[in-house]
Parts: sequence; C-alpha cells; structure tokens
Amino acid sequence: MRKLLLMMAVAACGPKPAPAPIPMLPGDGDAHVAKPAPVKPPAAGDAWTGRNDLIAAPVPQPPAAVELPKIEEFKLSNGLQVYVVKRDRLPVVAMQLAVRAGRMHEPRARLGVAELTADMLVKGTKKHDAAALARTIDFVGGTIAADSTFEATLVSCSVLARNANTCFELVPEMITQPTFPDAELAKLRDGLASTMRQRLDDAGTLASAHAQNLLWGNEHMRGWINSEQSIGSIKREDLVAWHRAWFVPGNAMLAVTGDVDPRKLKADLERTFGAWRKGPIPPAPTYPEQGLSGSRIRLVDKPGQAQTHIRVAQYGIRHDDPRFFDTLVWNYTLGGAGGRLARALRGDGKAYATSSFDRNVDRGSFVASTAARNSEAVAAAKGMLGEIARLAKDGPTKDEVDAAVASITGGYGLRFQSAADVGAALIGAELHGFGREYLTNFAVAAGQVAVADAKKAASEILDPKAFVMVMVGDAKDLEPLLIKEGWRFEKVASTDPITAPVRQPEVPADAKAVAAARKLIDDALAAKGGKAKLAGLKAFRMTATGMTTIQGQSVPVEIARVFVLPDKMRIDATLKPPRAPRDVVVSIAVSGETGWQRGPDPKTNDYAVAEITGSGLASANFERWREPELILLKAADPAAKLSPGPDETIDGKAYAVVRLRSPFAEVDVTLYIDKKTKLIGRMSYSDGGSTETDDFADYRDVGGLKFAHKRNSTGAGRSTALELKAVEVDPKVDPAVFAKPAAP
Amino acid sequence: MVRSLVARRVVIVAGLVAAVPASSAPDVPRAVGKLPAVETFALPNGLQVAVLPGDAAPIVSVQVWYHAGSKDERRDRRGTAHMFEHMMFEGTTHVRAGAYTQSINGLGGYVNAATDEDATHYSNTLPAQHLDYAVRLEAERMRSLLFRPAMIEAQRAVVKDEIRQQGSSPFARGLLGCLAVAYLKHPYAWTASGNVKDLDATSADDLKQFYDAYYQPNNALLVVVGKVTAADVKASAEKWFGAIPKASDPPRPAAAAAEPAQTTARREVAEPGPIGMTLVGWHIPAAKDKDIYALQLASIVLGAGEGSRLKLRLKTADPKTKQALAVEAGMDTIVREEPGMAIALGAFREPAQADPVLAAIFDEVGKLAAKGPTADELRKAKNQVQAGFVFSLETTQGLAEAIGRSWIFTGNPSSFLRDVDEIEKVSAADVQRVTRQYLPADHATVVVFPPKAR
Repeated sequence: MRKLLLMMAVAACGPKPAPAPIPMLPGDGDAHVAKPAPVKPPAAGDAWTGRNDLIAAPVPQPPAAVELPKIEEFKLSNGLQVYVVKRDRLPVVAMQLAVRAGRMHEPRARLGVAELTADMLVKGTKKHDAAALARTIDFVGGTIAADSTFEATLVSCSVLARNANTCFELVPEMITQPTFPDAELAKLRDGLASTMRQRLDDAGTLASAHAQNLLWGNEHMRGWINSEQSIGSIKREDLVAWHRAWFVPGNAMLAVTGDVDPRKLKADLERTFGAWRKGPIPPAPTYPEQGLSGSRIRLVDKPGQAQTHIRVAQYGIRHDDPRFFDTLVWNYTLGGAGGRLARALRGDGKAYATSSFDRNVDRGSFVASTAARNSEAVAAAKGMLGEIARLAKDGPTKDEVDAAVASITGGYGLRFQSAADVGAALIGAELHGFGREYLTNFAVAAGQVAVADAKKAASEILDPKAFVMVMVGDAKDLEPLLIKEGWRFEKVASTDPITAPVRQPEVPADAKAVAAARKLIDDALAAKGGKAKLAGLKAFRMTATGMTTIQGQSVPVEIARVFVLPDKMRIDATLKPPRAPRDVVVSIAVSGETGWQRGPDPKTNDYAVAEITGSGLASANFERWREPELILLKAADPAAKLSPGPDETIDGKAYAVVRLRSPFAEVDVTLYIDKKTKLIGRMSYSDGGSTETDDFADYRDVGGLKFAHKRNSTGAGRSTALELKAVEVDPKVDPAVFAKPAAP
Repeated sequence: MVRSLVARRVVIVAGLVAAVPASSAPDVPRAVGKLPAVETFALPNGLQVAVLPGDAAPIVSVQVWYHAGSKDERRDRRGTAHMFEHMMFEGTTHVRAGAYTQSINGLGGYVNAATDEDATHYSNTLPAQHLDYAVRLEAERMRSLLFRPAMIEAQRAVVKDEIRQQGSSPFARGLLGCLAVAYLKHPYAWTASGNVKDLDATSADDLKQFYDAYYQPNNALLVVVGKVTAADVKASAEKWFGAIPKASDPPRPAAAAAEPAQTTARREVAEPGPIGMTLVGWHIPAAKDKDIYALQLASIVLGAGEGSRLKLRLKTADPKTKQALAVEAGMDTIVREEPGMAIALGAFREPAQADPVLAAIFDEVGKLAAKGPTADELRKAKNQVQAGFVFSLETTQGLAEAIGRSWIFTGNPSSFLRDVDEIEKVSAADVQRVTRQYLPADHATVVVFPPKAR
C-alpha cells in the first residue's frame, strides 16, 4: 500500500512517536474486549481439504513471568507517590502522572467535567499559554498529553533523555497551575459536544450507552451518560472547582521511566513538584446497585436503521475478584475471535459478536454485543442468550481454555516495549491497588486457569435469567417481532436523552413570593417603556451583526428579524465564512400555525425551501413565544405561572430571578432582572438537559421602548455575539415576507 | 484489508540512512543509546539474516524484506508488487488461505505488510517462544504461494479499492501528479499503489513471473528482533530457508532507466479538483548520499509543523487583504534507494492564488538558500527528527523496520545506528548549501491543480 501520507505528512512536523497511553492494565482494551476476526468455515474441495501435511500452529508452552527492571519507590514530602524504572537501552524519558479523578467521580449535574478538565490542562498554565506549551514540546520533538478515563486523569510526557527537563518543568505546571482560558474552553467544549452528538448518532454506541443506563439506572454513576447537552452546560468555574478538589498530591501518583538516575531524580522531583501543596482528598462517591432480577428489554427506535445493534448486559466482577483470570478465559471463549458468539452469530461474516467486562476497582458490567438485520434481530438476541446459558451450564472445553490462554498471554509482552508503556502499566496496576507482581505474573496467572475454574466462574457470574437487553433499530420492524416473541419491552426514541434529566424541585407557590415576582415583572415592564406601550406594539424589525461560533469556527453573521404581532415572525441569518466565495443565508418564518425554512443543502450547496412541521414547528413556535422583546407581556399575564428564585450575581451585578412556565412541554424560561435598572440581563431555558442562555446589555431607547443592543447567546455547542445595528418600531411590513417562497 | 489487531503503519518520513563513504570499508556504526550491535550472516543460498537481541519483554518481531517494489514493475503493469502484499496471506501449499493471519493472532501476535517503490516487507510480532514457527511460515510463503484464480480476483479487487480510496484524497492525487511529471524515465514516476487499468491487464502469469524473479532467498533479508539469540535464529533460518535454492539475480529495470538530470524548470497544469494545489518538486540524491540529512532538515525547516516557514508564509493572513495565500502548506522529502524528490505544496481555493502561492514557495526556498536556518530552527528540526527516530526504535517492530530499511537503502542493515549522530553534525551552512544546490527554481517541476469552479 502506498504511504498515503506524503502530502498529509507535509502538514505534520516530522515523525511523531505514538501518543502516550492512558493508564491501562496489561491486557486492557484488547484482551477482554475480544476482537472479531473473519472466521471462514473451510470450503469443501479446496486446495487443502483432506491434507495431513499442513503446517500446524505450535502448542504454546506455559506462559512465563515477565521480567521487569527494578522499581524504585518513594514519596515526596508533599505526599506524591513516585515510581522510578531505569531503562537506558534508548535515550528516552517518559513521565506518567495519574490523579484519581475520572468519570466515576463526576457529580450528575457535571457529566463531562473530568474530560473537559483533562483536555484543558494542555491549553494553558500560568507560565505557558496553549501556543507556548505546544511550541515548547514541539521544539524538543517530544509529546505531551492529558486524558481522562473512568477512574483517573493522566498526564503523560515523553522526550529524549537530554530534554528531560522539559517534562520536569511542564508536567508540574500543567497539574498545579492550569488557567482554563475561556476562549480555549469554548472551542473545546463545542468540539466535544459535537463529538458527543455524532457518537450518539451511531447505533452501536447508542446501544452500549443505553445498556449501561438500563443496567445501572439513573441513580448510579454508570447509568449517567454524557451527552452534548451535559457537556454544553459545563462552565469554567466547574473546572476550577473540580481541579481544586481532586488535584492534590496525596490523590496522585507519578511514574518516571527510561534513561534516568533514580538517586538524582528524587531531588529533582522535590524541586519541580514542590509547589504542589497538600490538600484533603475527597472521598470517592459510591452508589448503590439497583439489583437485577428477571430481564428488562429496552427498544430504542431509530427510524431508518436497517441493522439492529443488540446488547445483553449484567453485572460483572471487581478487578480484585479471585475469579478474575478465570473470567478472562471464559469471556474469551464466549466473545473472543472465533469464540462461541462469533461462531453462532456471524454466519455471513458481516456483523460483530463479542463480549467484554469492565475492569475497575468497583464492580462493573459484563456486556455481550452483536448486530443483525432487523428481521434477524430477535433470532440473534436469542442466539446470544442461548450461548450465554450454554457457557454458564457447561463451561469451556480444554481446547477453548488453551486457545484463550494463548491469545491472552501471547500478546502480553507487547505492553512493555516503550518507556511510556512501562510507566503506564505500572500506574495502571497501582491505581487498582496491585503491585508489580500483578504485572510480572499476569501471564502466569492466566496460564494457571483450569477448565474447572473457568466453568465454575462462568456459572457463578453469568446468569441467563437476569439481564438487561437493548436493541437499537427501526421499531417499525422490531416491535412486531418482539411482540410475537412475547417479550415485554419499553420503547424510547433514539433522540431521547439517555439519562433521565435531573428534575428541578418544584418551588412551592408561596403567595408572598409570587406577589413579589409579579411586582418585579411590573417594574421590568416600566423600565422597558411601559406595559401599555409594549402591548400597543404592532410590529418591529431589527438587524444585528456579530460573530457566531459553529464547531469551533468563528463566522461573521448578520441577523435580520421581523415580528408582526401577534404571530408572524421571520429571521434571516446571513453567515459570511472567511475565504468562502459567497455568503450562506438561512431563513425561517412562522405565521400562525405554519412555518417554512430556507437554506443551502450541505451536500449540494443548492438552496431549498421546506415546510416546517412536527417538532421543528414546535421549536419555531417556542422561539416565537419567548421573543425577548415580548416575554414580559407573557409574564404579566394574570394566568402566567411565575415562581421566584434566589437572587444571583452575574459578572458582579445582582439579579432577581423569576421562572416563567411556558405552554410548551414543561419548559421553563428563567428571567434575570437587574435589581438596579430592572432591565432583563439574561434569559435562559432548559429542556431537561440542554440549556440556552441569552445575555442582554447596552439598552437604548428606540421609539419609547428600551432595546438591548448587545446580545450574546450560548447553548447547544454554539455561541453568538451580536450588536444591534438598527431597530424599527411599528414599521410597515409587507405581509409577503412571511409567505413561503415559491422557488429557492 | 483487515488484518486483526493492527492497522497499517503509515511511514511519514522515509527512513534515515547513514552515508557510507565509498572509499572506506563499512565500519561498525556507533550504537544509539545502549542498543547492542546487529548481528548479520548469510545462508549459502544468499538469504541475508540480521538479528538484534532485544529487551526483556518475551516477544519477537520476525520480518522478511524483499528487495522488490514498484520500481521493479513494467510500466504497463503498475501495482504488481502491491498485489503480493495482499496475496501472500491468502494460501500457500501448506497453509490454508487466511490461516496465516489467524494462527498468529491466535498466539496473541499480529501481522502486517507494506509495499513501496523499493521494497515489500512482511512483519510478524508474536511471543518469542514462537520464533521458529514464524520463520517457518515466512520460508513457506517465499516459494509456495498458490496462484489460485479466485484468490487473485479477490485481491485485485481489494487493491483496486485501495487505489480508489486514495484517489479521493486531493493531496495524494497531487503527489502522484507531481511525480509523473518530474520523472521522465525512471519508475519513480509511479508509486506502489498501482493503476486500475494495469491491474486489470495483469495475468496470473505476470504475477508468477514477478514472484519467481523477486521472491527468492538471494533477494531477501530476514530480520529478527526480540528476546532471541542469534544462534536460535541461525538454527531456524537454516532449517526452514536452507533448502530453497539460490536463484539468478533479479532483473533491475530501473538500472536501465536512470533519470537524466533536470536542467530546466517544468510546469504543467493538471485536472481541476475540489481544492486548488500548487506542487513544486525537486530531484534529490539517493538515501545513502551524504547530503540527505541536510536536505531532510531543510525540508523540515521549510515545511513541517505550524511554525515552519512555508506554513507561516502561506497560511498567515495578509494584514492588508485580510486573506491568507493558502489554506494548507507544507513540504516533505521522499527519500528512496535511488534519487527521490523534495516536494512543497500550497493548497488554496481561488484560481488566482496558484501563481502567488508558487511565488511565495520559491521566495521562501530562496531565503533559506541565501541565509540558511536560524539556530533555533535547526535545533528544533534536529530534535524532531532524532526524537521521532529514537521513539520508533522502542518497539521490536520499529527496530526491525529500521534494520530492513537500512539494508534496502545502503546494503548494510546497521546503517541506521549512525543516524542520530549524522543528523547532529549537520550545520546551518550545510542546510544553506544543499538548499542552494538542490532546490533552485530553474530545476523545479511545478504542477498546478486548479480548484474546480463552484
């Protein structure tokens, strides 16, 4: 194959080493997540049928222990645990620092904070901004990375030995003095939100996520699934709080491997990590398991999905379970390359059929996975359950155990090649409370699994009667099959949030408080220009210019908005991407109960006009209802459901808070009214996960009414900053502007 | 093509090689770090063997490097070498189709293969205890591949698919276009991927002829790196390869097709594409030439990384027009056994930018030729090359590839051991000199791909 490359490489800065690994235990990632391989049954009458002189694969000898070089251990005076491995065959030094702060520690209202914080560590410190960090590590041809996993945040740095000081300088800086700059955070958050959106569009990923939620429930951290919305709502102060709470030296460990002098190293590390002050270590949150009895099936409807992705999940084991190695073996038998699932389900060689189990300190899940055409989905699910039951009853054969051990232990040595690998393996073991013996004896322990042990473990851990099942496919095809089978199931839409949104507690309607809220609305109306004046408004038109950030790219935009009361609204957004030949114009209009939109087809760039119906129309109607210039009239309506909230301070200003219930599916709009000026400073709403925030400033009088001339909106991975250029009160508006255009 | 557990490795900078001074006997190059020396020997049938005893991890990489690449192909049979990269896993006399990969995976290892203009190499990484098995499998497929019609059809389709996928990358198309104009005689005018029309015309006999000419012990190097001894490797090599007879020397069509020196500039306009590109190529010496190190550093200073000269010049917005000349820019060197190329690129959207991009590229190269690199630029480029190279040697597979590539480029499997030192010796004056000598505008090949009208 031609190295595709070259011109791709033209954009790279020279040969790059492989990215430093996230703490993995040897065998992580591949050994227990069995990978599919094409298993072709021998065709009758081919060149090799009936031959007895074919080359046979060798019978592996019992696996031997892995030799590890000497590991020096010491603690710095601030409590940081350090491991040093000298390996000087090559002039390389690698540093791996792990903090016990990962997804499992996240509060429900801040899903994604671990990942965001980790990603932001390379985006700026007190001494180096993002560009300077990149320049510093690029200059020496090294790599630096920060990642988060289920259990930890890992910062890794690899350099030539002569440049070791670069790692010694940058890693402590990133850990102790990150600055989390706003601009970088916005870009990163948008990118991550976008990735979330794409991932949950993938039926396979969706199936796995739903399986976790169904197995663990909405009150257990494993059941909380990261989403575009959850990421989008994380703010800088959340990162700061997370970092301050968890990033303390007593909650971390450091591995330094390669061409180092362990004796000299201690003094160097005391110096470079000395500024990292001790702090209390927060307790890791724990959650009760909801228990599993009987079976539960969730059908996730994805219209148009022709292939159903199926998951069967149940509880797994803790990493320190004495049956751990037995489980590695029976899991490989079930879901490994050429395993029982693959042989039973991959007749046409297309779909995958695998199984895996989590390897964490706390008990995780066991998941069997496959995909099948919709018409075969129930048969495939039954096939999976059948194989699980069979293995639980009979256990693996001797041949199967031998094959499993060969595969699990054969590749084990591959995990100890680079200095960074050794450091990561060490960290991985220590994070789970294992010492070096785990690493050196892993292969030996796997080799000692007897057939009877594997069978006993499978029968204890697998339960063919108590499980959860998820199917992601087209319900049109799947429901009849499930009903025919007599299987009870719950149905959800693929677009529904996977994790139930956190219900805001309903504030009891205290009469005095509601009255105070009403007075506040009256004051706000007065500040706006008066209720009578606002209610007498027949129409208004405004144009604004500014910038909108889409997928991390900032694009100049011009927005024209015209409103003819009571129910005609049209918005035209003109985007001017730099270096594009022409502008992009997106228009949307609603009038009464109908609406249309016009915009370019992303594939062809041709413009198209379409009617808006269904949930699109509901969205447009909601936009119309919450029109910022008119929202106070909605709030002043005697029938309006108001509930006051506690005052809030934003950017140093004090705001009174009023929540207003909208007529749309329990969505609340929250108004933040400046306590001094009584003008609306912010309006936000949340539809159970996604939060959109509009900020208003620079109010100026136009025709007796106050209009905010500066508007910033953030939410759903996008942010827009606008300045009003023109406002017309009661202009003449040609009704034709609201009519659906005939041709694009 | 899916081979479980490993993706294709993309070689970004084609290896570095020592300059072996023609006058002196090959000395033992100084080691990198504390790497032991590469032990070499040959079998009577001409098979070269190189062994590097490895670290403590109980694994081994066994590779066979065939000195056969796309420069050995007939001009109307491009893609022949590439076919073998795929076919060699699909059934030999004593190994069922697919069983090669499957059996190695089953032992916890993985396989890979790659083709380029000069060589095709096959890689097996697996537990060290199975060294003998891997050597046996390689010996088996050196001479016992079965040319079954159904298999050939299937792999032809796979290779054609790869070509099509590559064709959808504008940068790949740009590269291929530039090479085709820059090389008038030499087979480096095409690369190893192949050509759909030629592949369709390639018969089983054509393939068998290539196999019999090039897949022979006297045209191959067996490389073993890992927890092994040279004695064990020798025993296995003799046991399994020993019986294969030596063949006649393979034909070297490239020897009769030396590229004449390019003394004038060339310019061509190619087919419009989704993005506009201006490519500028210059002929550079072969891998073992003493100037290659300096040329690679020059190329990095000019076009690797966001801080490089071409990127800064072409991608920074002009303060007056608020526009940048290009949306992407860069430069790289194609270092090969025979004289390769240095190629610079600028990608843009408006047709009118093609010439300003070209002017800017020539201007930046000219500046480097006039003044050389700054101390920082030179230090950074050296750091990047050396670091990337040393990191690649941390794995048995990376080490084995360094050995194989050394052999292809210089005939000496150990030459890579000097690379770190040789790069270090390059001075700013050296970089300036090679830029002036090898990258002048009047010896350049310019190919412009206009952007499609929108």
